[in-house]
Amino acid sequence: MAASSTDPTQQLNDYIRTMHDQGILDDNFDQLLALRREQNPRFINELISMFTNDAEAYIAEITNALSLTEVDFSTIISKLHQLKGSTSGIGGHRMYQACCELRVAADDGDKDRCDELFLRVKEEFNTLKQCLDSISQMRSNIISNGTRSRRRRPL
Amino acid sequence: MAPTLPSSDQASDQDNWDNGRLARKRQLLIEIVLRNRLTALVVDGDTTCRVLEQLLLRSYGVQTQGVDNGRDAVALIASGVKFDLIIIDMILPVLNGLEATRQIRDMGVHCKMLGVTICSGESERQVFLAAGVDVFIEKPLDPEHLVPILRELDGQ
Repeated sequence: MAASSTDPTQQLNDYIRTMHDQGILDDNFDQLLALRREQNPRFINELISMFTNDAEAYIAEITNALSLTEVDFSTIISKLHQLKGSTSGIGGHRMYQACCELRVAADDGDKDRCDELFLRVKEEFNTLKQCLDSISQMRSNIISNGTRSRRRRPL
Repeated sequence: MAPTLPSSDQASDQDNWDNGRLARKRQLLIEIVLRNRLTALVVDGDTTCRVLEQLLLRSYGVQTQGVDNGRDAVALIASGVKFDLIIIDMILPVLNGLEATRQIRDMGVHCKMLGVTICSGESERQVFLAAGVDVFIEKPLDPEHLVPILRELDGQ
């Protein structure tokens, strides 16, 4: 029997599929979902929270480095490396691509291009954050509903 | 009528969306059973990456320890703690991954070292291999790369 569109788990699955279609998430997010069977039910939510907190800190540090009279490209590259790593791990495809472009500009020491591309990184982060927050919320609702989540295992 | 609960060991029909991508990922996660208790050190300055790599290793039964900078990694190895596998990022706080790798190798440590990093070009790959890692893997660490290495370490 086909799942109802009001079924929370089906809604979550559909939402994740849409995020894939839009390029916001990629296969690496699937890998997290595959891992979660081995962990506690809130593992994905905790990881999302960890990622967004760290990403915000990296973005703040890059913002500061770009605002200096003598732009600190070394710090930008270093923080971008960590941001790219965590973004790829969480499966944030579009944000990862934006970080790659910014890395090129930072390697070139091009402040104007860095400013422009960093705006895009922040936009993609906001998009990804909203996406991940929605996933977290949907999963929290499913987990807290308990009985319904045992009938159809959530992603 | 509510659908029946899928077996915890199998992907449900609901899970097998988009050409079974998720199901294939899960299959790789249960693909091997290690005969020996392997140990691994994960060296990564980013918390999310470090946690993910440790979780992936633990899903195969590998006992892991994590540090967030190269200096602590070198100090841990120098203290005599032994690992079957070291996973290390190239850019690290305090002491970078290249130098940490060199120092670990200079101590006579011959265990398998994986350089798992964000790659920006072939030159970076060559530099990391020259520093002493055995394998260069572009982040994120995935089962497709990890499973054959674990099998080798386990003597399978």
